[in-house]
Amino acid sequence: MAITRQEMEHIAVLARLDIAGERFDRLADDMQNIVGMVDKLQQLDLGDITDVINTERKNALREDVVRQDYTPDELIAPNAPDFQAGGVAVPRVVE
Amino acid sequence: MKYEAVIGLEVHAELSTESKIFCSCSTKFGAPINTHTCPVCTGMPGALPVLNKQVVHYAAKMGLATGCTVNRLCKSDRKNYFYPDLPKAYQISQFDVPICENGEVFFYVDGVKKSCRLERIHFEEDAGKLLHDEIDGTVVDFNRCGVPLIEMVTRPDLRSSAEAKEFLEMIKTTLSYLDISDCKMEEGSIRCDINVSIRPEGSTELGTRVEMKNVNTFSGAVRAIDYEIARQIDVVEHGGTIQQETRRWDDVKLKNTVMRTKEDAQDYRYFPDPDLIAVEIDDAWMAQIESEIPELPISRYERYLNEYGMTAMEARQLSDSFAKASMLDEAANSGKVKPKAAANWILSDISKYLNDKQVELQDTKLTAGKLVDLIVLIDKGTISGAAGKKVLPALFETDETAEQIVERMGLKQVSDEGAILAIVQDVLAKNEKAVADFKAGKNVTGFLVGQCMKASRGQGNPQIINKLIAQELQKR
Repeated sequence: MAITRQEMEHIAVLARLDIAGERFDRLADDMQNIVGMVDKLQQLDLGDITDVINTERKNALREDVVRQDYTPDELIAPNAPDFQAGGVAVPRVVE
Repeated sequence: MKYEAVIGLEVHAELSTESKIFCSCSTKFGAPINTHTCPVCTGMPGALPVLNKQVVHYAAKMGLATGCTVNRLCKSDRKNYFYPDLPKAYQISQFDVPICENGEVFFYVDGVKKSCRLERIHFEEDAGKLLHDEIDGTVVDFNRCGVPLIEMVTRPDLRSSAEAKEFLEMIKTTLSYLDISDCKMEEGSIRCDINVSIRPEGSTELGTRVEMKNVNTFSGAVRAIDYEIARQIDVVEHGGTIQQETRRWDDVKLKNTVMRTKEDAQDYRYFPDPDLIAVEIDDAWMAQIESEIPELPISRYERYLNEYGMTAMEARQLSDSFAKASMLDEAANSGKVKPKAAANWILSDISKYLNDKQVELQDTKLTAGKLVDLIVLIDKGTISGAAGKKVLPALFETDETAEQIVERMGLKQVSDEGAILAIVQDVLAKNEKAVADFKAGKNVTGFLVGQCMKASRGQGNPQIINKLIAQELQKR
């Protein structure tokens, strides 16, 4: 399956990436390789396995118990480019 | 031309788990900003989600209560989009294999039974909250990130805002019966997106649909739907065509505006979340979930109408509350009181008390057993109906039995005819004028009963007093 220029542009928009010029071509090549690899995987003969869910391992579940190990000052502040009023400050968002 | 509206809903309900869906942070509403966060729910690199068992349990429970097939095997998927309230830039949800599918919800609209099919129920995580008033800009509060939600998606079976409202009410009542959501509308526990299209009456084709977001109350849903139906009819009547788009409902300005059109429709690029493995509900777990489903609100409603002979309003008020309906059924099942008598107490004095004190029935000390005892005391004539009302507050607030309260408050009714006769004769002797009035043909019974009740400090049995007054007056 070949990746068209249009698809690349759409994916760039979805990923919020600005990929102009030379970089665009390089990433297009990369993506083509990845898709090629998946194409190859799909040629595998899986016999009668049609499941969409991998059931080799299942039910990694936790009990409903509360544990609070972090404060905002420890967790959020050091990781936020702009920390104000106890949270991550971002440009005014009104959708 | 006459038009018919076609409405489908996507209802989100927050589940009342203690901890979040993929981490151990608290779900409690109203905590200081970002105090319920950890590396998982803030999307730190390398942090791994682990699914909360209770979320699976609750979601399957709702599925069973709405006639869905519960998929014994399901999985989690990533829904990708960028927004500041979503720190991972994807929401963990369920895509092609949701936990529940193909249900149907029944409800009444103006006495007519209707139904709306459910396409699916899936579990997912909530996003954070954007605060716009704190600073010059926006602050992100991640406390709500990872609070568990179930999303219930209907088929386009609803035809009016009234149907949509009753459907939503039934979903809410069912959630509260199952005890899986707080259902606090003011805290955003239940939210919905609404899809509306119109078509000429009689047509079976579906028109172009418009999705409305930002509807936070059921009454808001009614307003939003009525507005959108009228808007679409207006567009079509003026020769226009409906565009497939998403519109934002403004419940203050009472209008909606375009949020995005089909061209910039979201493309979420769903794929299976590689951090999470399959969930399987085995037979034992399923049996456990099934055993927790109580008799559902619509079944109780119909039983109260048909077996207890209640009015639609009475049946609705009782069946809307799991605690009230359960109290009624338990009282009726005791075989000691008439269901109607218990229902009257619950609908009048008990409801009034709860309303006045702003408490929930299940948070008081009143039990069905205590209510039964109270009614039996009245039926036996041990206390009067009026005295029963005086006993009620103590039944709510103390561990005393009805008998103990009656004893303590000295409310026992005197039904001994000899004792009452003495009072009646005494009252008649002191009220010669009333007796004279009686002989002149005036009705003085009410006055004399009042005097006797007063003389007996409210404890005389009014029926016996009535009877003896009539009897004594005849003698004079």
